[in-house]
Amino acid sequence: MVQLMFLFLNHRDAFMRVFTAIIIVAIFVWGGKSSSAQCCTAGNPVDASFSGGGSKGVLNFSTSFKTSYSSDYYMGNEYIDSNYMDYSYFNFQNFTASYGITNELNLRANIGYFYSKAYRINRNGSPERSANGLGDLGLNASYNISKLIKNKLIILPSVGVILPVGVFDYVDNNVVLAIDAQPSSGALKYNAGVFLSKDFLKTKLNVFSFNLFEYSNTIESERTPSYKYGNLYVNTLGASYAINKWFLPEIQFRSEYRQRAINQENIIDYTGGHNVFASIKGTGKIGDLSGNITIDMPVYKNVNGWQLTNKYIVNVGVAYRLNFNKISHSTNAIEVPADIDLKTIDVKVRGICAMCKVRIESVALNVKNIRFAQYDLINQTLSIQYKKELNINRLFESLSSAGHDNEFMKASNEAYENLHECCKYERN
Amino acid sequence: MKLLKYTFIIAALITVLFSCEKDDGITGDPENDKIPTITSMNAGRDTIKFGGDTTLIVCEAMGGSLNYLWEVDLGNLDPVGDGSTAIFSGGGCCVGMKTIKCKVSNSKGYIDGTADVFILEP
Repeated sequence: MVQLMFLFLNHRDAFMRVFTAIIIVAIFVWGGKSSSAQCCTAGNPVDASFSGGGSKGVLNFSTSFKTSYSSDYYMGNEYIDSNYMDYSYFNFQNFTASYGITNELNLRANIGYFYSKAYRINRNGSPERSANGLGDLGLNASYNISKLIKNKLIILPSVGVILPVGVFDYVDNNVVLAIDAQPSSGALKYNAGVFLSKDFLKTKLNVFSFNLFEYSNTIESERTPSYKYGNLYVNTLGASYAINKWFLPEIQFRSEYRQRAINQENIIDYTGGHNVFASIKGTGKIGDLSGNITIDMPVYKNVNGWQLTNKYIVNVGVAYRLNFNKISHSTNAIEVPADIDLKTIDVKVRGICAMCKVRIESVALNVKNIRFAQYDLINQTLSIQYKKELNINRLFESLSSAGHDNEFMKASNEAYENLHECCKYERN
Repeated sequence: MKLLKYTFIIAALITVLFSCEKDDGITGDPENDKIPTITSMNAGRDTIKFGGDTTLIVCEAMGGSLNYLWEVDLGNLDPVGDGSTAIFSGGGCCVGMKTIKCKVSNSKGYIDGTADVFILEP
């Protein structure tokens, strides 16, 4: 095992290229009879991603399209040939916004919309039943406690609530659809989670874990006197590797355990179960804009009784980061007349997180005659555009005073120790 | 002559006052003047197994031109014919007692009827 570790560290670039190729092949090999997260649950699909954290004054927008198709019945962990339901599917759009109130506190909101959520019973003359409309609204707050416990591991506990604001009484051809076919879950839910993250290999490799518990309140409405979805436990373990500054593949293993539902105080045996998925994700970045595609595949499944399960889930999303900080705005530049001649230089500066990036860029733009500054976290390189009158030593002094070693000047121990815990890069 | 004239006018007024009827826009169908009534609502079978078994739910009502709206918390309903009959079935998540509701409406209002079906494991 130790020898394998050394082999990996010494040839990590080649290893990651091979790893990526294996993953791509696996997608096609496993795609035939694969299925994914439990279907037939009301409300927004399970979303085990975590977009909390981030710096003060930074707003992240993201939207993703998710499509899922289900036609396979499983009993326990075995496929069975049942012909009750012909198929079910959904096409869903998720919108998320998260904002850093402080460097530690982040607020997040997300809402979903079903373009279609449909199923068909396998019986002659039975039509497809379909609904569309708003799903549920999720509100979430996370707080970075890494500084409190003086640890380089990013630790973000979070709490949240899911509000059933959407459609819960959709009518399709003179039938009010069943609650599990409605866009909204109809239930108020609470959740609590913790996100853990640590960078390795000069921030190229990130290992993370997200763990969530969701409690569902009982639905008490005219539609159903007393129905409670099973509580949900989600545990993920994943890793991403920055092949270059534009492409970031990620693999994740996710366990979802859902308890049985309860209807009018009776436990519904044929609900809930345990599923484990392997999730492959590819992310491409250009500046503050990123796009991603995710495919979920089951590696373990054990449902209670027999239930319909997904055949596949594919998710495609885009995200945009908007920085509202006073000087480092989204273009990281100060407007200059076109006729002013600017020079360009790259400088090596130590930094390991998004907070470092914001600080380094802010410090650089505060130096007289620097007109543009952009910090590449992966290559730990600061690119600046400046007027020829620039006193470059002022830049190095400012960066070192802020705690960041650079190729011409080292930060004092005091300046380094004043950095936020998650910013404390390893010093040689 | 004057007495005859006044008598005629009074008789005409009385005739007009007591012979006019309120026109509600519905002609030829006096049953639409009332909220519908459900004469019977029942299930052909009150116990079925999930995953394929079906039962017919019949909602017989009176009240002119009627609309039927079906509802159940879990399970599948397929109205057939004029909508007064629906085929009901359920999956594994639907085990237990299900109350199927039929809402019958016309231009005057609506009325609800229910029928219970118990879904068993196969």
